[in-house]
Amino acid sequence: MWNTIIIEPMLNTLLWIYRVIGDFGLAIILFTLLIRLITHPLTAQQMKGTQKMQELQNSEEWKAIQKKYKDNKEQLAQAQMKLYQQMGFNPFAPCLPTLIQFPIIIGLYQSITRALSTTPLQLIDLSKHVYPFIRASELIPINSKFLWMDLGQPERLPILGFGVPVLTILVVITTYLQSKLMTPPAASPTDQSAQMSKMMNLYMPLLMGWIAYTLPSGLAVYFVAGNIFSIIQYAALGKVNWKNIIPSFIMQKK
Amino acid sequence: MKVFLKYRLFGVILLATLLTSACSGNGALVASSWPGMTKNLDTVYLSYGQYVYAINLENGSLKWRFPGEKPDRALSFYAPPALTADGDVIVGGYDHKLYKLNAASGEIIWDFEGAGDRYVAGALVTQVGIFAPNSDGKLYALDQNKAQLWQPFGTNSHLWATPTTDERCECIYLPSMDRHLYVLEAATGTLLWKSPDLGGALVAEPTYDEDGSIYLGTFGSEMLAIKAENGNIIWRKATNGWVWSGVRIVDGKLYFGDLKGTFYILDAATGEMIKQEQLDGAIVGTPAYDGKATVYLGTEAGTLYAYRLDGSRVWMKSISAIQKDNKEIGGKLYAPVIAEEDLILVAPVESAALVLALNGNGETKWIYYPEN
Repeated sequence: MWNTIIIEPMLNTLLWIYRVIGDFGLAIILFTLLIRLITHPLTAQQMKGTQKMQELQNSEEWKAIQKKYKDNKEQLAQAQMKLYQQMGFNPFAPCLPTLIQFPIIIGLYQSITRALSTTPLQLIDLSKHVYPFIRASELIPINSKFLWMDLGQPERLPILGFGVPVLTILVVITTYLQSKLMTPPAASPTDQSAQMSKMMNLYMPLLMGWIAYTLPSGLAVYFVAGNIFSIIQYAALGKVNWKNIIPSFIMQKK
Repeated sequence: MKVFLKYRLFGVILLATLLTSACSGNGALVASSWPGMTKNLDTVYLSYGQYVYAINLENGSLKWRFPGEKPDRALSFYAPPALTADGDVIVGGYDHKLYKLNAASGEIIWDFEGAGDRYVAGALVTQVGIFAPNSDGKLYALDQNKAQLWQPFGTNSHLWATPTTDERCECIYLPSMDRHLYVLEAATGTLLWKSPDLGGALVAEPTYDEDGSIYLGTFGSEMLAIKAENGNIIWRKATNGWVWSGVRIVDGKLYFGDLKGTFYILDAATGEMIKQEQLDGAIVGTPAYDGKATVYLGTEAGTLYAYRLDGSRVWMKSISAIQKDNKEIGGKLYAPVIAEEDLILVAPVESAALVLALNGNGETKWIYYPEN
C-alpha cells in the first residue's frame, strides 16, 4: 500500500527526471522543487492556520482566560475550547496539512535512497518498484557523481589533506536559517511553546547535520535544496521572520 | 513540565539519530546483501554480516569465526570467500580491505588496503594469482603475498560479479555494471577484448563452457551466449526480468532464473527455450548441480526447489517454514545453493539460521544457528 501509493510514483518520477536530464544530483534538486510545488497549497493552508492560532493567542480574551484559570487546567481547557468555537477555529486545522505532508517527505527520502541502490539488496528491491516504461535497466546503476560528490556515499571534500564535510556544514546552516526564519514571533518568549521552538531551532540543525554526515550525500543534497526552497516559499508568502536572524540595530536602521 | 518536555524532545532526537544511523547502508547493523558461501572437503566458509564463519561440514559445529573478538561495527562481509591452493581463505570486506585468513584458525595472514570501496563480489583465485573485483570499479590482481601483479584494471562502474577464467587462454572474464564484459590476460592485465554495450548492468557471474562460449545474464533482461575468443554474440534470449543468477550448464543445457521468479532451461547451443516455469519469488543465486541428476535453486520466498535435468520437479521445500522452538526460522534464499552428491547447503537471509545442510530428499541434516 505504502509502496504503491507513495514510493512507486515518487521513485519513478525521480528516475524519469534523471532519464531526461542525465544528472542525478540535478534530478534530486528538480524533484524536490516539484514536490514543494505540488504541496504548496498545503503549506499555504498550514501557514494560514498557524497565523490564525497566533492571532488568537495574542488576543485579550485568550490572555484573560489564561490569567483567570491559571490554577485550574481543566477549566482552562474548557474555556479555550469555548473560545475556539466562538472564533470558529479548529485548533487541529494547522496540524492537518503537516500530517498530510509528512508521508510525502518520508516518501521523498525513501525514493532517493532506493534510486541510489548502493547495496545488492537495495538493487533487488528497486527492481520490484520500477514501472516498465521507465526502462530502468538503461539507467542502472545510477551515475552517482555530482560536482565533487559521490551521491551514494557520505560527502567529504579533500582540502589540505583533510576530508571536510562541506555539504554537512551547508545542511546545518540552511536548516538553522530555515528554522529561525520560519519561527513566528512568540506571544510570550518565556512560555512553553516558545521554549520548545528555541530547542528545536538548536537541535534540528544538529540532527540533520548528523544524518547528512553519515548517510549518502544524495540525501544531503535533498536537505539543502529542500531548506532553500522552503525559505523561498515562505518568503513568497511573506511569512519569513527576518528579525530572527538580522540583528535588531540593522532592522532599526532600515 | 518544561523539564519533561526537554527530555522528551532530546529523546526523540536521539532515537531518530539511532534509527538513521542503523540504516546507514554500511552493513554493520542491517544486512545489505546475502551470505557468501563456499566449501571444501570438510568445512563450509560463510561471510555474512560482521563475521566470516568456518563451520564443520560433518555436523554443523563452528570451527572459528573472524574476527574472533568483538567485531568492529564498520566491518562486515558479504563477498563469497575464495580458497587458495593451500586452503587459505580470501575474503573481501565492506571496510575496503581484502583479507587472507588462515584456514585452520581464522587468523589474518595479511590484509590488502589498496581498494577504494566495498568488496561485494568474491575474488577469483587461479594459479596465476588472486583477482579481486571491487565496487570502486577496479579489478585488483595480487600474488599470494599480496604484491600487486599489475596495475588495477579500471572499468566505468561497480564490479559486483565474481569474474571467471578460462584455463586455455589464462584469461579473466570480468563483468562490470557499466554493461561491458572485459577480457584480460591474467598474467599481465592486458585487455584482450571488450564487449559492446550488452544492454544492461552485469552483476551475474559469467560461466565459461568448454565449447568456447561464455554465458551471461544482464539487467537488460536477456541471457547471452558470447564467443569467448573474440566477444562475438552467438545468441541472445529475452527473459521476463533482470538476470542476477549465474548459469549452471549440464549436458548442453543452461539452468538459471531471473528477478521476476522465472526459472529457465535453455539449449546452450541455440538459446532455444526448453522449459520456463514461474516460481514463488526472485531467483538470485546460481542453481547448483549435484553431479548426478538434480539441479537445485532457491527463491526469495525462502523455497528450495529440486529439478530433474529434464525440468520436471522432484520436490520443493520451504526453508523459511522450518521450526525452531515452535517458531518458523524465516528467511529468503538469495545466496547460491551448494550441492554435491547427497549434500545441499543453503544460507538464508533474515533467518534465525545461518546455514542449513539437507540431504538429496530435502531432509535436514544439521542447522547452524549463529552464536551471539
